[in-house]
Amino acid sequence: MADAKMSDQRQKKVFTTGEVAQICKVSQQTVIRCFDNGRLQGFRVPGSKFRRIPRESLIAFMKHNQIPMDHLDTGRRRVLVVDDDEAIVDMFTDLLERDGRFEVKTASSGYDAGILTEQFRPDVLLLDYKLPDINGNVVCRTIRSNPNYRHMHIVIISGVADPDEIAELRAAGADDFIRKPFDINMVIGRIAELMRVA
Amino acid sequence: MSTLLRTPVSTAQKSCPDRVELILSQLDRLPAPSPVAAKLLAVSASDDASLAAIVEILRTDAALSAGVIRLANRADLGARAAKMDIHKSVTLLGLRRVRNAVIAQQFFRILDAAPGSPQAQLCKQLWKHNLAVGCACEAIVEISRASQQAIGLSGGEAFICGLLHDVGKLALAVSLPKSYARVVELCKREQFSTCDAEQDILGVDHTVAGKRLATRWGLPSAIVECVWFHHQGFGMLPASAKFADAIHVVQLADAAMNRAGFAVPQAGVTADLDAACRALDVDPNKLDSMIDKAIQRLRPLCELVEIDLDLDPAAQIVRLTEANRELGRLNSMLMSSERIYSRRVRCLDAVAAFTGTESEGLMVGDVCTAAARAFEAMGASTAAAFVRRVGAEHVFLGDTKHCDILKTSDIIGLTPNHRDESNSCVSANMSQQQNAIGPAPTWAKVMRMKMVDSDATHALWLVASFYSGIECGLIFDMSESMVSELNAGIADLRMLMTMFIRSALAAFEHSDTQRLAEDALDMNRRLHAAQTELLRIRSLDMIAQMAAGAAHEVNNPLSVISGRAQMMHAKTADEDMQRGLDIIIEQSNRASGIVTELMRFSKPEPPTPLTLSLKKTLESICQRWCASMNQSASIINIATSDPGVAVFADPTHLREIMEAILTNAMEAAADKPDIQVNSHTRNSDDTVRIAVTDRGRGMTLETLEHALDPFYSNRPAGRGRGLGLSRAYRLVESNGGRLWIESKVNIGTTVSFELPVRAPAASPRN
Repeated sequence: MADAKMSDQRQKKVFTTGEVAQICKVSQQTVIRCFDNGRLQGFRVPGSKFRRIPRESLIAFMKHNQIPMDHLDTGRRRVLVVDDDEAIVDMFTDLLERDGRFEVKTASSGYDAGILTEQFRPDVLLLDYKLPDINGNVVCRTIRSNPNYRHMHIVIISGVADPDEIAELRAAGADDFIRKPFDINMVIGRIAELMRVA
Repeated sequence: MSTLLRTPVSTAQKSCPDRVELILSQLDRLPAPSPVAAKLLAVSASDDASLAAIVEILRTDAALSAGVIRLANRADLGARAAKMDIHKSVTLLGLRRVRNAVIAQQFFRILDAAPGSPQAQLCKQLWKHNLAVGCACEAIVEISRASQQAIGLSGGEAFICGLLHDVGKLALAVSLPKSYARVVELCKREQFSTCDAEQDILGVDHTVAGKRLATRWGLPSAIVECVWFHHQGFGMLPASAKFADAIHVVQLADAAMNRAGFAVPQAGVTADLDAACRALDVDPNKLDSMIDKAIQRLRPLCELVEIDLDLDPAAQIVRLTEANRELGRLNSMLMSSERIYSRRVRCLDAVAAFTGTESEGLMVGDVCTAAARAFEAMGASTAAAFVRRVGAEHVFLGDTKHCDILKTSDIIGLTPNHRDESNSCVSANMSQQQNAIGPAPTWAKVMRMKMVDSDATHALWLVASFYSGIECGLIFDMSESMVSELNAGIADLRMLMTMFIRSALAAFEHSDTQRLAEDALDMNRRLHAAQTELLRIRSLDMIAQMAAGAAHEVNNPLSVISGRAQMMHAKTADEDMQRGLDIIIEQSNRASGIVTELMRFSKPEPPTPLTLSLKKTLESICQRWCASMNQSASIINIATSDPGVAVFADPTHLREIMEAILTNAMEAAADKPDIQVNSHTRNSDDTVRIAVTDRGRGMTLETLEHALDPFYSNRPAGRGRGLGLSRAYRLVESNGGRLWIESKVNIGTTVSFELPVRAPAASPRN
């Protein structure tokens, strides 16, 4: 039951002060005080005095106060794999899920990737540089221009390793670049490393 | 009888006195003069015959009276309308004129051919001659009398003597018309004297016939002697002749009037006029006035006897003089025309010669030469032509090898500012017309010009034209008279200059076209080179594109193969399986490496050149290469001519270049590699040359030809990608150097490349 509740919370976008108190393991009063003095960002329900806290504000609050997030999510890192080559996508899914530390979703185009980014809010985006409908550069810039995704890591994976292009991608906001074909252990290691830094 | 008939006529005539008699008897049948004539002759012996006596005689003949009155009326020319009677008429006309006219008419009546008969014309001419001589005789007597010359003859007598002196001719012509026609013809044809011809044809001449008639008619002795002796030479008169003066007067008058055009028949032989003058002691200078006077008197007489006085010697002389004058005028015009035409012909010849030399490919210089030659053909002793574009420094000249009057410097001196001041109009024309393009060339007359050369001052002539932005000129040596002639016939000069300038324009166009063609050719060559280079670049670009596409497309499955193999490797504990999976992973990486190499070849990284110590760099590269190739360092011998020399290149590129060449060298002699690396500095262009020589199998010509092509490999299939030397070549180029290969089969190959010693001198950025 508690698990189911927690599972619900993973999907929730907006929390009540009671829920936040439960997640953060503090009293509801403390939460209300933090809300009222502005340390916890949120809003009141129109026409009432009820306080509501969006997920992003909560995460920011928890990170800022070094509150463990175990109760907010599963603890597994969300990885969104975007590649138009199905074999690649399948391989990454197998590889990452087998590792056990990652929750994986996949997309085969820039459009799908956009929708999933919004819904799934991945921690890491494994992005093929050349998508059929969008360029890796554009994806990097779009994500970096949105403050909601500032904690997201972008790893570009490409068969082409043009130094100029790599430099360009890094400038656009990519965190890492992995050339195909790759050592699978190296890929897992890089992703894990990025998570730790975050 | 028949023989007599066959006897030649002339012989028969001459030897037959009967025939002469027959002829003379024929004359006897001519009627005698009328009584009126006889009376008139009687009273005309003296010049002072009374008017009354003459009028009395005339009244006896009504026809004669009517004739005299008609003559008087005509002489009066209608001044008075009143009718004339015979008395008034004689008074008006003058006694002398009336008497002469009447006598003449009387004899004319007797000795006249029927109108329209064949001899009518001859008779009229004979009578005109007689009348003319009669008038002349009278005039001679009057002139002699005026100069107190004693001639025993009155004017009237002299007239009658003259009038009747050739009565024999008339008698013969009237009596024997056909024979006398032959006489006239003989005179004309053979230039016989009349007497000789008459003797020849008739056997009797007119003097004899005339004497016979005059005697029969009972004419005075003076007349008879005149008729008989007037053809006797001076001083040859018979002693019996009593009237020598009269005869001489008739002879002189006859000679004078014959000369004045009254000779009948016209014969070549004429009497000696001077001798006649001497005989009478008459001044020969007065003969002209005598003839004038005689002709004046002749006119009314001719009217009376109705003879046309178409021969008027005086008028003829006047007419002749006028005609002469006109002829002279025409002649001078003709001469001037001829001069003009000969000049025009010269000019046309010159133009023809000029156009004759003209052909498609004529250059401006050739046009100048042709123009100069054409001008020489027009009479210039030497000529030189020049052409230039207005405002341009360069002057085109013809072939001036036999024309030392012109030098380029002189022509350049001919700019408007430097021309002789006397040619100010030329200069003015030039400045005005510099940009004008008129329908026809502007041109100047021939001008004298001064040209100062190093030795002397030439006085030459200049003619110049301007048209459509070009100036054509001719400088020449010519006599002043010819120059003025040229200026007079300016149209010819203009024609030549127009031809010259048009040809020059055409030549300019031709040379422009030629230059355009040459430019086009050059551009074409460069275009071809650029196209070849473009083709190379495009093919490299295509390789790059292909490689990039391949990298993407091939690397994806390779990633999957490699990735899956790695995952399986981690899962399995089966060692065989793990070994197999290792091979899969390795080969995937190898395949990926090939694609990467392709990409790097087609799209090399731009160089980052540094100044390196050549010797050290080469040694380091060779050492590392030997190590990587598992070869002993001893297979390479490095010799550097200048140990301290530097090289300006990207170190990574230099290493790749050397590695590619060394690999190639090693593979050429796989059994026993022996590689010589030499470096040599060229101070002339600040480059260093590095030559890598192997003693391998060498390359065939075909291999050598393709040695630098990408993907060309002499190695067995599958043992190389053929990009080594090709990539080295591209890298050397991108570092500002060049690479080439020399090779001999079974002897070895030398790959040489040059690189700059130092950074290029201050580029704008620095």
